[in-house]
Amino acid sequence: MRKFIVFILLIFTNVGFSQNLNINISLGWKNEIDYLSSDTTLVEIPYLKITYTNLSLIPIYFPKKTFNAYNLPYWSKSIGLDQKDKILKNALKEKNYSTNPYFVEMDQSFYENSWFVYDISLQHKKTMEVDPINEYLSNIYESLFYCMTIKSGNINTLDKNLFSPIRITKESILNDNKDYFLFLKQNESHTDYFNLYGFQSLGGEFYFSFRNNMFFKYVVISNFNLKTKKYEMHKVILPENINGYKLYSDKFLFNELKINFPVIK
Amino acid sequence: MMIFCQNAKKKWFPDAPMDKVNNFTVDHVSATTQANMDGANALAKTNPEATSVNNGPKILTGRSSVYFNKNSAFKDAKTLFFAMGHEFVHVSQIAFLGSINFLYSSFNNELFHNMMEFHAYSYEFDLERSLNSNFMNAGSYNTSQMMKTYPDIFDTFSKYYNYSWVKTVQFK
Repeated sequence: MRKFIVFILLIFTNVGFSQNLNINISLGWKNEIDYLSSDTTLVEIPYLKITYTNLSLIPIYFPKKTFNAYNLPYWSKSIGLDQKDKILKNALKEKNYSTNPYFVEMDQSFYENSWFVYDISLQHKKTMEVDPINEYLSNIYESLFYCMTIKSGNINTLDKNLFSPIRITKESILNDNKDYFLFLKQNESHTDYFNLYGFQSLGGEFYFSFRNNMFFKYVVISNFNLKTKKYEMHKVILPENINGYKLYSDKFLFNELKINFPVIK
Repeated sequence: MMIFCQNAKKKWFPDAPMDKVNNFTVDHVSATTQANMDGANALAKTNPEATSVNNGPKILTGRSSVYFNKNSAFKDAKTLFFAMGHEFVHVSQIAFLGSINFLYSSFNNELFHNMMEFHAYSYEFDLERSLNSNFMNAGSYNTSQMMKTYPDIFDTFSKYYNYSWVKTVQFK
């Protein structure tokens, strides 16, 4: 499988800004049982590794820039799951026939966003058309999420919305919402893994990176207003300090990773 | 093909919700949108538009683009007529979602897509019935799961006959 990556290019960007926090994006591989196979055949699955390193002289905390569940990129709410293991087979039949490279915007505004993929030849704008490749990836990852949940024996959690923290307080950051935040001491690192099987299956050239190079003093969450019948966005200010860890709200260093997965027809 | 498409729209759907449409075309279709339509045997595809506010989550703007499949939508006039009706339902659905700031991540899942398709096909069947055409096979849908998961939106989508543009639709 590894030979299918034709080339990987690391482009370091944003050098010269504050260097108190670095996010390194790299590629790794894991041997796993083939999702579609009934036996125990092992295949190499590509994983995106996102490593946060605290380069400051003090302990810091911050909301992660992007989230995963079972090491899968969080693509959809994954609700109303119904026979997703069967659907995975169909989802994996989809191929990316575009010859244009795609940018994979991994920025997630707290938990309520998914990755957003768009044709890199289009000028990035605040408002963009949703390319159908997002639909393909959503179907694949929603199905994989279901398979992983079954495999883990947590089938009872399927009816719950896994990404629904009710409120953000010091206590909830340390408990219910702890998976969305990182606490790092000086020179400490943390790595999250993101399964790229969906991208590999579709094929194509993808640039994985972030659009926004800032951590903010707040997170934005949405609430449904029963009076106006609309979703409303609310900024929730994060605590300045939790147990000696200072909130990091500044720019960060990061890179861009280009991966070319050939389309296998 | 494009001029025929525009003229047909004016005749058949004089009050179509074009104020919510960015692109309405058969000529300028991206490779993935074309592949998506061919792969799904779709006559057309409506792609929504998304934006983010204050570094917050992406939401639907309510605007969309309609693309027709040059390989299948122009088989005959009725085929194109039904395809347009189907896609204009999606345009109106997306316009509604934009009006309530619906989250892109909530929209982007299979059950929600199926719910949109179910109602668009329901309208398409109404059109087909009115012209005594053969019903196309739209597949089966788990409507009870849709109603359970999205009760309010399911109810809103099911009233597609209330869209203002529906009243003046005519195949001529």
